[in-house]
Formats: sequence, structure tokens, C-alpha cells
Amino acid sequence: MKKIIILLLTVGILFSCTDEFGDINTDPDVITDIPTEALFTYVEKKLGDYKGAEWYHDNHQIMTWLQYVSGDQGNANDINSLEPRGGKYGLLYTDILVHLEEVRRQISLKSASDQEKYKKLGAITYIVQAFHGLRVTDLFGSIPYTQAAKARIEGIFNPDYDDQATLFDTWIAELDDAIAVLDESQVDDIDLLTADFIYGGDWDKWIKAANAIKLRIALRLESQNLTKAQSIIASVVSDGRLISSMDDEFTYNIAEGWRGTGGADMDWKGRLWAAKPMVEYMKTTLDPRLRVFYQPNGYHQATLDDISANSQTVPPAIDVDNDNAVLYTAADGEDILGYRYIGAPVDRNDPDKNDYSYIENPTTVGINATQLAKYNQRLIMNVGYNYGDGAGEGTYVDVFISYAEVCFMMSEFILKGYTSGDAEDWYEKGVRASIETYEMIADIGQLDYKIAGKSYPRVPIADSETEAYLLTPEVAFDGVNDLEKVYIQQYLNFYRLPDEGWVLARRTGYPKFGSSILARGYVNGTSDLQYPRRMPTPDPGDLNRVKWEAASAAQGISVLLETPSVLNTERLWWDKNNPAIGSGGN
Amino acid sequence: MNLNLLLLYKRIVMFTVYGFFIQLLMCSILFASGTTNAQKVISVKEVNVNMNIENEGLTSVFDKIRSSYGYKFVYDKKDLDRDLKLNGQYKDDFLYDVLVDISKKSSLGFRQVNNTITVKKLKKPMFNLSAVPMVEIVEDIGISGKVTDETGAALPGVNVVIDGSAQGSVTDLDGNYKITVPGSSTVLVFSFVGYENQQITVGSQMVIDVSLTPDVSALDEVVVTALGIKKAERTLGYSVSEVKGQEIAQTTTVTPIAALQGKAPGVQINTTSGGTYGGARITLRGNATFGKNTQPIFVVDGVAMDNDISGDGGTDWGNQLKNLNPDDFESISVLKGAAATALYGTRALHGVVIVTTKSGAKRKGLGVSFNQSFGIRTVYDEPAFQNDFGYGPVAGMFSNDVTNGRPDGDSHDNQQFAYYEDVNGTFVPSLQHNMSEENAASWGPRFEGQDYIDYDGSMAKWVAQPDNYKKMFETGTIRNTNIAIDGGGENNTFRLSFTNFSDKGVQPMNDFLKNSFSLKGTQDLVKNVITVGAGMKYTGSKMTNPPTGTLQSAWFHDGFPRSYDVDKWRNNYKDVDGGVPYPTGSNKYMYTRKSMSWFSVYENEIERNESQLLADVYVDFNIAKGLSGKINGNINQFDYKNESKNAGTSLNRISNASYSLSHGQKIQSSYGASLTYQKELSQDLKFDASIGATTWTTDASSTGVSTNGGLKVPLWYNLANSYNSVNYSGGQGAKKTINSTYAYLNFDYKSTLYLAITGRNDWSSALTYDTGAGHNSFFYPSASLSWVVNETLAIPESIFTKLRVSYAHVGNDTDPYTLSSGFTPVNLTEDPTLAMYKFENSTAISPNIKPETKKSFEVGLDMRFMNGRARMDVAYYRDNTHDQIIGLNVPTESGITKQLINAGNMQNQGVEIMLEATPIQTKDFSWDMGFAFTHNRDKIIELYPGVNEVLIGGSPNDANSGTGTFAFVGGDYGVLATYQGYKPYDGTNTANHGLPVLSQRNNWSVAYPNGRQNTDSLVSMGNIQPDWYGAFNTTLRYKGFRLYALFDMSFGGEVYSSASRYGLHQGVTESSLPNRDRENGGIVWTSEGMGNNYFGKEYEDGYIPEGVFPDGQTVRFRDADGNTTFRDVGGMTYQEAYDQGLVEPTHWSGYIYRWTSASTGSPLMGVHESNWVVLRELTFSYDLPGSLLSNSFIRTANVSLTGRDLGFLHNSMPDNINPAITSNRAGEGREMGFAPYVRSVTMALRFTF
Repeated sequence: MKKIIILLLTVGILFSCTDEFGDINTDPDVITDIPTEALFTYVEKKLGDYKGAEWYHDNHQIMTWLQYVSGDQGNANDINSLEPRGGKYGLLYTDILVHLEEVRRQISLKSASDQEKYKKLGAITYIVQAFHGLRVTDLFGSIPYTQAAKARIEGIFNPDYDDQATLFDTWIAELDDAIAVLDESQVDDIDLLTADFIYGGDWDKWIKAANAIKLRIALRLESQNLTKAQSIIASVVSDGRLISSMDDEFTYNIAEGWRGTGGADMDWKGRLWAAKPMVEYMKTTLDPRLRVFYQPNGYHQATLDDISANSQTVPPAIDVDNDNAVLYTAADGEDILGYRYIGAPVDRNDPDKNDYSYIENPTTVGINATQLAKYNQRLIMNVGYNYGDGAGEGTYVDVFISYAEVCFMMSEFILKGYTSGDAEDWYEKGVRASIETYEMIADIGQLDYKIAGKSYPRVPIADSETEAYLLTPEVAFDGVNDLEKVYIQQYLNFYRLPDEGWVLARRTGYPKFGSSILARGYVNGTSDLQYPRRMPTPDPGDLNRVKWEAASAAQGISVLLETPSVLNTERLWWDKNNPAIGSGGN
Repeated sequence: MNLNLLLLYKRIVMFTVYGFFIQLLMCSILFASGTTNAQKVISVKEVNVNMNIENEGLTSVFDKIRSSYGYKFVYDKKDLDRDLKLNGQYKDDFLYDVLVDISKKSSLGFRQVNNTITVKKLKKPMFNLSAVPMVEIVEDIGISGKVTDETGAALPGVNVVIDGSAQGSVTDLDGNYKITVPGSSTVLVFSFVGYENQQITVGSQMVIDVSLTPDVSALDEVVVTALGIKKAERTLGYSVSEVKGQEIAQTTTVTPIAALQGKAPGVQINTTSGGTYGGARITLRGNATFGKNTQPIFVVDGVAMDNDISGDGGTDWGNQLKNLNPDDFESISVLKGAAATALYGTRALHGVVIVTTKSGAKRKGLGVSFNQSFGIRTVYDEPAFQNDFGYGPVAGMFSNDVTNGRPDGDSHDNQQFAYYEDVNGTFVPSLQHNMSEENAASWGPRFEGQDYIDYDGSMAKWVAQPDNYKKMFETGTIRNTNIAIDGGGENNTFRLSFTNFSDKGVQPMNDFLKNSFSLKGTQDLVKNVITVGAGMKYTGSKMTNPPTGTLQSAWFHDGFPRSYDVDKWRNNYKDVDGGVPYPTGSNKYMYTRKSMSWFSVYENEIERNESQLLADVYVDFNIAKGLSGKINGNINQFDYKNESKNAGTSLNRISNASYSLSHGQKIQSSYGASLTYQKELSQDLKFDASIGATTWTTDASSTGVSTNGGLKVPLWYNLANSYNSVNYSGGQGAKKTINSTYAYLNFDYKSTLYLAITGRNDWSSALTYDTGAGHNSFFYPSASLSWVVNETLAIPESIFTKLRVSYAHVGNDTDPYTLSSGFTPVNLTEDPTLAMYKFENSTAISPNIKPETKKSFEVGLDMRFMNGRARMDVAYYRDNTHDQIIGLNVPTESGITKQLINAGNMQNQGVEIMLEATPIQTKDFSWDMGFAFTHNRDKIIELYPGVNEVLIGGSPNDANSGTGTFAFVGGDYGVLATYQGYKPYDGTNTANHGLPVLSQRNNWSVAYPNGRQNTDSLVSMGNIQPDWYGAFNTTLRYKGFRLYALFDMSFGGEVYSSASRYGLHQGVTESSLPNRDRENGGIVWTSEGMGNNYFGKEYEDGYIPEGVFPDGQTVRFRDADGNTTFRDVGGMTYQEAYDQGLVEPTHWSGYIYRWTSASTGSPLMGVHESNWVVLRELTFSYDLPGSLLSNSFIRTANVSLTGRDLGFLHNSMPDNINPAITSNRAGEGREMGFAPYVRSVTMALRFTF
């Protein structure tokens, strides 16, 4: 019996043993020791691959406001409402900042020599977060930044909101610090290679990107603090390391076969077509990007033959007899004539409205042939878009900061006298670069399309087209409306970065109503709608609502009031002194 | 150490198994014995002998005794030593002494049974212990008799036990019993619930008839409590509900949970739409945590079984509990409060259901029982469908292209056919080539027997198919066969049982098959000192083709219309070219409805095999007087295999065909030891105490492999047939170890005041960080007091009163790996070499996570009146769960979305009332009834500072339901809320503030309140917690006939029903009829061309929606010439605008379609109060009287007819919608896939031999 008692006591003591509990409770599916740079790679990927919701939600609306595209029946009356919020905001915190914080934390725990080796990786994390942070504040104004994404390390659940002045100052300082570190000469740098698939660990290119971001910040500061904007421009110009070729562009290209999420449709709220003002401009100037931006309508010869064989008439908007200039020649030799590119009116009371009244129900004669030109579905929506005979086989490239953008910014600064230089040269370099970049995107994306049963393999852009384009009066830098032309070219260049196009429209008021170059159209005869100039700021939830409400109040923004007029009149700080959209006031 | 225990465990199991087979052989020899003799019996110890024996042989001596004293000897001659000569002189000695002398000399043993003395050769003793007598003389006396109650009526089921032993018998249905006792000095104890015990010394009687007298103050029903300890109910300071195993077996449900419905207060069961073996949801006294599984664990003979969540997305295979075999159940004890469960430790936070299975008894001969039941399942009811209108989309949805749609001008009329232009240029109504995607919609033409072209080009008549929903289902069949053998000898007991169960579901091809074996036994190794016991239960089950939502929900969402002919299409789902007619393919008839579903039902094979082994073994030691010990071990091994053969629906049958095979295993084991000490301190004060320790471990793993990119060869289901290299999944599963020590102390003061104190400490690996640190040790105590008031205060005996009160803490850990964090790789298909890592998830873990604690208080009153003919039991409980381990939602700006913390105080409080009465009780006739009532409210008292609500189920962002279940801090738990409520108008026209803002769709010519306009604030739609739920049962008994009825009910509380919402959306339910046309009250008007209406056309489906147009709203009109104008209606209600002639009525179909749709509508239209009363069970049974069976080998026979889920007596859901929810996870308040109304009727035959 004694033995039994001893046994039981022994058992009892053994049972309370917890030595192996740590091992038992370690999840075999997670790893704790990873290469630090692999976290950075993940962040670079997130910069580009979150896009499903963006073209589905944000671009659908923003591209309509900007008149890159137009809804059916000349824009329905809820086009200026704002339903979606996009994915950029959450991305900043739960993907970008939190992992970049972790990159820096891991570096700080390394040995002194490794810290030195990883120093420049640490520096470029700031460039990435300033780049994306700027994209976010453009939409939402004051946002948490300096205290953000620190829950894992410092346990901060309710980060302070930084106003835009603070954000801009912070980013400029962080970018300057990053450039300084990247300029240091280190013997034993980490070689990022593919871990940095944007620049392959080329520190010099990261400096160029940092400078471009500084210029973007200067643009936004212009109407609030011109002095500061000019000093930023001056510092970039004196540094001199600007993006100077396509090779320097901040480009996201990891050969992914899709853009965004398959299955969703940008036309979810109604069909979207090429917008009439932009199509008219591109037709007039024979802009070589026309065929990259938009698909022609279905009125090729077979369709016209079908119509006449069925004794039907061609709709009045399609002026076969007069609108027949050759826009370009298709791969099979077919001349694409003017009437193949008919944009949807942006004015819902367009005088020729009745000509377009068929928009809702495209005529189907034989093969289903739409009468309007549509945005290029593989460029905008999904590079794998299926035109009915198989998905696209190209891959998707996103140019987040283009050479062209830098050129146009420089041209604009020079024209405005903020710095010196040859505005015309920068302008022309910009136009060429923009066309070249779109040609690159089209090439890699293999942007073929199939219209009304006919395949249209991609036609590469010839240099001669670009040079001819530069000579057309609407494009030529000839002392007439040069600044507007710079704006128009920026506007065209931002076709695939609608957020930046939206910044341009807010900051400059261009494209403007009644312009002789590229006129913005009124939505309702002679009056326009009040377009949102920001996105509703997301409610952070219970734990930070007080600061959110305070930050909103400080910006003069009402929370949870998302009517178009509120979103139009209650502006973000950098936007407060800007002109009305389309007014050309600046 | 675990290894050693495992070895010990294995040895004991082996030993026990062999022991049983030996036992079996022995028992079968004994089977034939047992005749009774009406003579008086005199023990050999009482017979005086005067006899001389001189050199006589054994047979001669036996003859002498027989002739002189009347005892007959029975022996086998080969046992007798022929050469042995006996000598002896006896004078006034007892015959007993003579036999002892003979035995000593001959090594023979004698056994007296009445007047027969059986002689057998004594075996060599097993253990050479001095305590074992060399001479075995046993005198057995066969006693029989009848037990009656105070009225003279037979009392079946009375325990007749030999005092001081575990041996005994039970009276049969006629109150008769038989028992063999070891001598005339034996005392028999007769006991029966509610009656006073009676003790009778056998003496010389051979027939002992007993009349028992009721004893209301006894309350000595014995119930099973924590750790399987049996206790008298009067001693308990908390409530325990016990259900007899028979009641569960009778229901022939797959999961024992469903069978518990309505059986005990405080137990809430929700059926789900998971089908035959899908999960049912059980909660005891509400939800203790925000977690998704708040269900109690099931402990079967000491082996704990997981009660997992199932059906929470994907296929519902049910959980482990379906592998239990109710035929083996002796009783089910439901332990609700923490005081009742505290000894179970961390896994008992949500309560414990203890299942005790049947054991063999020490008895003469073998008990054999045989049960056979047959039953059918039918879908007996369906939603209230409209049968007036057939297929057709809502107004505005048709295109004007006549090839696939309608002639120009008809597109806003919802009662036109789709047309097809035939070779003669005639437009004929046609569903062939129909291009609309809204295929279930029944907004089409009235059924008038018109001719039309069907999906496949055949001609058909346009008539309603009123039963097309019911016709999808088949008649299910249930068959259950159980055979059990039990017995026991001097030193052992055993029970062996086999059950074969099959249940063919009502859905085509859906089957469940189960074979269960169980073996349970005990063996005394050293009599009265060491006993070993073991049990093994093995179940192999096979499930095929679980119900798929696509068929169950076929009628309301993306399903089929009211004109759909199930009989025609269920056998006609393949395209003539092969594969399935597929909406986007180029097959022959593209839009045959549900062809994909039929194809998947009849062509795909999805099968799951499970095997489950529960084994337990224990050794009991009697160490000294009052001191005993126990060592036990058990294991629960669960294996499954899933195999899925998906036939390709494509023409070539390979490109989207697939095959997958997966296996998984989960092993849980537990080892423990305990010591128990009992002592009577004085006449008035007794106590017993115990200490013990256990270690419990769970480990799981799984692997799955599936083909990738289709198959290479059609219809060959093999992994080698994968088009691309196979996909694999799975890996190591969760591992956890909990070590525990526990102790309890029970005091009994004068048998009127009982105090029980328990304490337990757990050490859980799940609360340990990977560094090894962590608050992984936690202690929880309980105390409970029971006071039988009668004996203290002078309360008349006829009113028995007991008060009970308890307070307890129960601790809880968390899931394995919750505290483990790290990074996970992200793979880029395009470049597999690119190394990318991210945080495993966006939850950060606080460094000081500690266990959760539930503090539970309970007070109860048990009163019985009129000598127990009426009873009332009331309990009030309040449970507070503190420091829940939760993923606190934190602002994403912090870089994470959740922080794992301890927080909160969640409270459940409620009242349970049980009323029982026996209004009539006579010899032949009795009437019993009982009513159980439960009111429970869960509430969050506090959470994390600044946090106002927690999402506990569903999601307000769910694309389909838009409904989440929330708990608001300081407010209600279980609030159904959405972001898709309508937006109240707050514009310039203040007169209309608060009314819903309308959305105007010009191209549809409809206006409706938009569920997507107000996505910032949660709109409360109802609460899933019923105000009360309960059950009423009644039993009528006349002689051997018994009629039992159980009604189950729930009142208050809301359900979100997608069937209700989308049935309206698609125009298939009766509620969609109003306003549809002139006959149904629709406004008739001639259009001025509003929206896309055609100018001058007459419409008859007009409706004026309630709501206000937003400021600036314009409505488009197009005149006869096609000129367009806009009219400003901003700030006006629809009625005001209509009264002023600014708008036309809106189309009813478009209005209701939009307002219920997933993209623009609101779940508000699916939320309804759910009150129901169900006739859950009706049983009619007949026990064949003993007199009929007396000349057969059958001991008892019973035949019964049981109906389950017979129907709703009351159902508050509209359109006769079934309120069954989707999953058994906590906080689920949604029906996301309609459950058919299934009832079963089973006939059972039960025999014992």
C-alpha cells in the first residue's frame, strides 16, 4: 500500500511537469527565422497585387469622373457618388508598414557588422512607405503614420493621426535621410538581387525614385506652401539624380498573368465606354496611344455588310461617309477609320443625345457589334481578359512612377518659374517617354483584342507616329497654351494611374471646360456635378474613434457623411486652395 | 513515463480481452440451469445429522444422505475418486460439517441449491494465499417473488440486491423477480425510486412477495456526476439532468444531440440544415464565451470526445458524436453549471454530457437482448409556394432581342414569355437558348396550359409543378439492428454488443452506414481487493454524398422556377453530346436548370469513412478499510478517409474532372490515478475524499492529395491520372497536453446537509509560449451545499423540500498554437524561386495570456408534493466568464487587425423550471406529464476599454447574407445586425425625415430602398436568443401500452432566413404574389414612358414603395417620339410624387427583387421572429405481458412505433419557412441553405432472453 501511495505521489508530481510544453505548443506551420529581405520582397509584391478591388471599385468611378471612360446613356446621375474605398488604405498598415517595421526591427537585432550590411535595405524601406503613404493621404488626408503599425512592437493600438503638413515634412525628412544613407559607401552591402524585384538592389535607382517622390510632394504643397514646395524642388534639382530613362522607372513587373482579381468586372455598375472628349482629342491628334487605351467599335466591313444585307441602317453616331480618316492600320492591313472610335458622351443631355440613345442596347446584327469604343479591357481590367477565344497570354506591368511623369513635372516647374531649364525639352522627352512606356506595357501585356468576331493583334507604335504627333498643333510646344499642354499630357500619361490623374484634376482644374485642346465635358448641358475630391476616411473602430473624429474635425471633414457635395466641399488640406475640377483655374 | 503507462495499458487490455473469452465459455455452460422448487429449503447448516460412516465409498455416502435427509447429489462420476473410503461418526452435527469433512478428504466442492447439492472437483487455487479456503461449500437458495406498490400494482424495475454485495436482480414488467441467494441468513434489499427500501431476511422462505411503501423524503435517485461518480440526487448542491439511454436509442437519430432535444431544461438544441449526419447545436445554459464552439464535451465512460463545429462552410460531415451508439447507452447525465463540471477542468467550460454505457451484471446465465428497428424518413412539408406564375425575370430584365428575349415593348412586363423565332418566322414561347441568368425567377406568365419550347427543344405545357421541391427528395430508410449479450459470474462481468445502423437520406444518393462493436467487462483479480475493468468501443462509419446546398436550396436561389418539372429533368441532365449543359458553354441546350446539380448528385461520388476507437481500462484497488485507489487509461483514436470523385461536366469529361483522397487521424489519450478515502467520523458526520492526477494529450495530422488541372483519361479516378502534377495539402495538426491534479471532499451531516468541495489544477501546453514561458497553471475550486429541509424543519413528509446552492470556478485554456506565432511563406506561381515571407496572420499576441475563468453561481429548490405525485424544480444560475482569450479587433492603422488578449466579463443568467405531475396513478392506468422551461440571457458586462461590440457569428459584410451576429458591451448578445439597412432620409425636406431613402433605377423603371446606401452604421434586425424555450411531455400508460408525446418549443428570438429573402427575390413564395397583377391588387396604369417603360403601354403590376427620393433625384421620362426629359422628385415620398403625377407606380417585381437582392437589397427582408412548437416525438409502445411469455425463452418483449419531428404545430416564419439554421457554431443566426422538413417514423422490436 505504501508503494501505491508513493506511486500516486510520484505520478502527481510527474503530471505537473511542463518542460516540453513550449515545444508542444509550437505551430509546425510557421517559421520564425527567415531572411529579412524576404519580408521586403513581400512588401514590393503587395504594392502591386492588391489591385482587384481597385479597378473593380475605385478606377471604375475615378476614371468616369476624369472622363477617361463614360457610363452608358451619357453618365447616370449617380456617377459622382462614392461607394467603394479601395484597398490602398488597409494595405499601408497591415501589409506595408507592419512588415517594413519588422524589417527594421530585425536589422536592429543583427550583429554590428550585419547591421552595417543591411543598412541600405533599411533606408529603402522609407522610400517605399513614403511612396505608398502619399498615395493614401491623397485620398484620405490626415492618417496615422508616425505611430502607425507599431502594435506588434510597441503595443500602440490607437496611433495618432498626422495631418498632411506633418506627413509631407516627415516624408521629406525620411527620404533625405534615406538618400544620405544610400550615398554612404559601404564595402559589404547586402546584394538584394531579385529580393528587390523593382530595382534589383540598385541604390542609385532608389535615390532617383526618392527624388521623384519628393517632386510629387512638392506638387501637392504648391497651393499651401509654395516656399516649401520650391525648396524641395531646388533640393531635387541640385541633387540632380532624376529618373532619366525607362530603365529607371519605378516598375512593378513580376510576370504575373493577371491584374487584380479574375472574375470581377469593371462594368459591374453599368457598361463603361471610351469617353467622347478624350477619343475626339486622340483622333484629331492621331495620338498613337489611342489603340493602346481603347478598342475600336464593332463596325468593321463585315458588320457594315451585314447591316446592309439586312436592310438596316447604320446608327447616326457612326458617320461612315465623313468620319473616315485613317487612324492607324491594323496588323492585317485593315485601315481603322475615324468612325471606328466613337466615344460615349459624358453629357447626359448631349445635344446629339438621341443619336446615342441606342447606347444601352447595342445593335446586334449578325455578330454582336457594339457601336462605341470601349476601354482596352486587357490594359485596364485584366491582362488575362478573355475576349471569347481564350485568355490573354501577356503579363501585367505597372509603372508606378514613370520617366514621363518626372519630365512633365520638370517642364511644369520650369514653366512656372520654380526652377530653371528647358521646359520644351522636358515636355517632348515626356511625350516620347510616355508613348514608349505604354508601348512597353502593351508589348509585355500582348494587348491584342477581338472585336465583333475579328481579331486585332497588337500593332506596335512606330517612332514616326510619335514624331508626327509631337507636331500637331494640339501637342506642339509652340508658346500657345504650353502649360495646358503639359497638363494634358500628364492627364493622358495618368490614364493607367487614375489616382494621379485625380490629383492632377484637383490640383490644376485641367482638363478644363471649353478648351480648344482637350475639353472636359459638362455632365448636364452647361453644368457639372460636384465630384468627390477625397474618399471618406475609414472608421478605425472603437479603439481609435476619438482621435479619428478629432483629426477629421481638424481638417474640417465630417465623418460618415459621404454625399458627393460634402466630399467635394470639405477638402483635404493640400487641396483646400485648389480650383474646381474643370475650371482650369491654376 | 507515458511510455510505461502505455505498456501497462496494453497489457491490461490484452489480459482483459482474453479474460472475457474464458468468461464467455463458462457462462454458456451455466446458462441451462435454474429450476425452482416449491418445497421449503433447509440449509445444510441447519440439518442435524446422526450418521455413521465406515469405510464407505463416496456414492454410498451420498445415497445415505439422500435417503435420510432428502438432499439430492448431482455429480460427474469421473470427478469421484473410486478408491477413496470414508470414515466418520456424527452425532447432532450439522450436515454442513459432514460435507466439510468429505471435501477435505476428497477435494470435492459442494454447492447447495435448494435441495440439490452439486458436486464438483475443486480446482487448484489460482493464488496461493491463505485467505482462500481449501474447501468450497456454497449454499444457494433460489428465491422468487413479486413486488407491488402501495396500491397492489406490480412494480417493474425494482432493484433486489443481496445486502452487502453488488449482486442483485431487477423485477420484470409484472413485478416478478428471481434471485439466488447464498444461504438463509441472506438479507435482501428491495429498492425503488420514490419508495422506502425494504430489507427482508430470507430464512426458510422460497417465495418472498413484497409491497413497497412510497417515501417522498428519500430522493435517493442515483445520478452520474463528474468523473462518472454515482451520487444520490439528494446530496447534490447543483442540478444534474439525467436521461435514460433507452429514450435516446428510441429516437434513431444519427447524432445523440438531436435525441436530447426537449429532454432537460437548460439544454438548448438547434437543428441545422446539415442533413442526416450534419451537426446539431447544443448549448448548456447559453454561451460562456465569444468563441465559435460553445458546445459541451461528451464524456463516454470516462473518454472525452470532441464536439466540433461542422457545417461552418463547406461539407457538413457532422462530428465524432455520430459514431456513438445509443443502443449501448445506460444513461446520459447533463452537467450544466460549473459546480457540476469543475472536476473536469479546462475542457468543461461549456458543460459536460456524460454518457454511461451499459455493463454486464453479476447474474445467473446470460442476458441477451435483441433490438430491431425499421423506419422511413420523408420530406413531409415544403415552403408555401405560389403556383400561379412560372419562369420569367422581373420587369426590366429581359432584353428586347426576340431570339432570346421578347418583342420590343414587352421588356418591362413581367408576365410575358421569352420568345424564339422559329423557321417560319413565328415567335413561339421558348425557354431554349434563354440568355437570362436569373433562372429560378418565377416572375413570368400565369400558368394557363400554354404550349412552349422547353430547355431542350421539346414541346411542353405551361403548368405549375406544385410539388417540384418535394419531388427532389426520396423516401429515406432507417434500419437498426442491435444484439447484446451480457453476464457475470462470481468474479467478473461483461457485456458485448453489436449494432448495424443504416440511414439512407432523403437526398438522392445520400447514405450513412455504421457498424458499432462494444465490449465492456470487469474481472476481480483478487476478490474484494483488485478489480480490473475495460471497455472498447469501435465504430466504423461510411457516409456518401452529403447534402449539397445546391439541391436543398434549389428552389429559391439560383435554382429552379415554379414551372420546373423535376421528374423530367432529374433524368435528363446530360447534354446529348456529353457533359452537362452549361450556361457558358456551347452545348446543345444551354440553360437547363439545375442540370449541374443533378449531374453532381448522380455522377459524383463523395465518400467518407471514419473509424473511431474508444478504449478505456482501469484497475480498482481496495487498499484498506475505506481507502481505495484507481489507475486508469483511455484512448480515443479517430481516423478518416475522404474520397471524392468529381465527374467532369465538360464535353470531354476530363478538363474539369477531379479526384481527391485524404486521410486524417486524431488521437487523444488520457492516463490517471486516484485515491479515495471514506470515513464515518461519528453517527452524524461522514465524509469521503479523493485526490487524483491525469494527463491528457491530443495530436492530429492529415494529408490530402488531389488531381490538378483535370484528368488525362475520363472516368478513371486515380491520382496517377492527374493532368498536372498533383496538389497536396495537410500536415501536422494541433497538439496539446493538459496535466492535472484534483481533489474533492464530501461531507454528509445527518443525511440532511451535504457539502461538497472540489479543487483542480491544470497545466496546459496551449497556454505556453514557444519559449516555454506562460501562465499555464491554473486552479479552480468549487463548493456546493445541499440541504434537505424536511429533516431540519418540521415540514410534513408529504412535501419534500430540498434547497441547493453552489459556487464554482472553471478555468479554460485556448486552442493549441494560439500563442505560437511566426511567418509564413508566400509563393509566387510565376517565379517559385522568389522567397517572400509575411506574418502568419494579422493577429498579435499579448505576452501575458492567462487562462479564462468562469465563475458560476447556482441556487435551486426541489419540492415534491402529494407523496411525489407532483414535483417542481427551480434553478437560477448566473455564470460570469472573465478574462476571455479573444482576438480583440484593433484599428488596422496599428498594423494588425487583432490583438490576442484576456478581457471581459460575459454573463449568462437564467431560470430553469421543471414541473412534473402524475395526475392519475392506478394499478393499470397512469398519466404523467412534465414541462421544462428555460429562460437564458447572455450578456457582455465589460470588455476592453473603448470597445463597444464584438462580432460573434456571421458577417455583416457577407456577400450573400449581409448579416452578422453581435454582442454589444453592456447590451445584448446575439443581435442580428447588418450594414445593409436602408438609409433614413435626412435631406432638405424635414417633413420626410427618417423614412427610407429610395434608389431610382431609370433603366429598370423601379424605385426601392437601397441596402447599400448606409454602409457606415450597423442596423439591428433582431436577436437570436429566444425569450424562452421549453418542452412538454406526457405519457399515458395502460397495462403494457404506453403512449408518449414530446413537444418542443421556442419563443422570441429572430432568425435570418435566406430562403425567405431570396424566395421573395425570385418570386417563388406566396408572399411574392401581392401586387403582381390586376388580380393580386397591382395598380394598373398606362405609361408615359417613365424610365424604360414604353410610352402608352398598359402595366398592371404597380406598387407605391414607402420611402423618400434623395435630394436632387431625377426620374427620366421618354415620350412617344423618344425625347427624354427628367423630372425632379428630390425630397418627396414616392406617394407624394405619385400624387403629383411626377412618377408612375413602380413595378412590384423590380421593387421586391432589388430590395431583396444581394447587391442592392437588405437582409432585413429575411429576418423574422421565430416562434415554434414542434411535435418532436410520439411513441406508442406495448410490452408483451409476462404471462404470454412465461412458456417461452423470451424474458421481455416490446414493440414500439416512434415518430420524430412530426411537424410544426406553430411556426411564425412566413411562407412556411423552416427556421433551422446553417451551422452549429455559436452566434449563428442564419439559415443559408434551406433544410427540408424531414420526419421519421420507426418501428422497433426489442427482446430480451
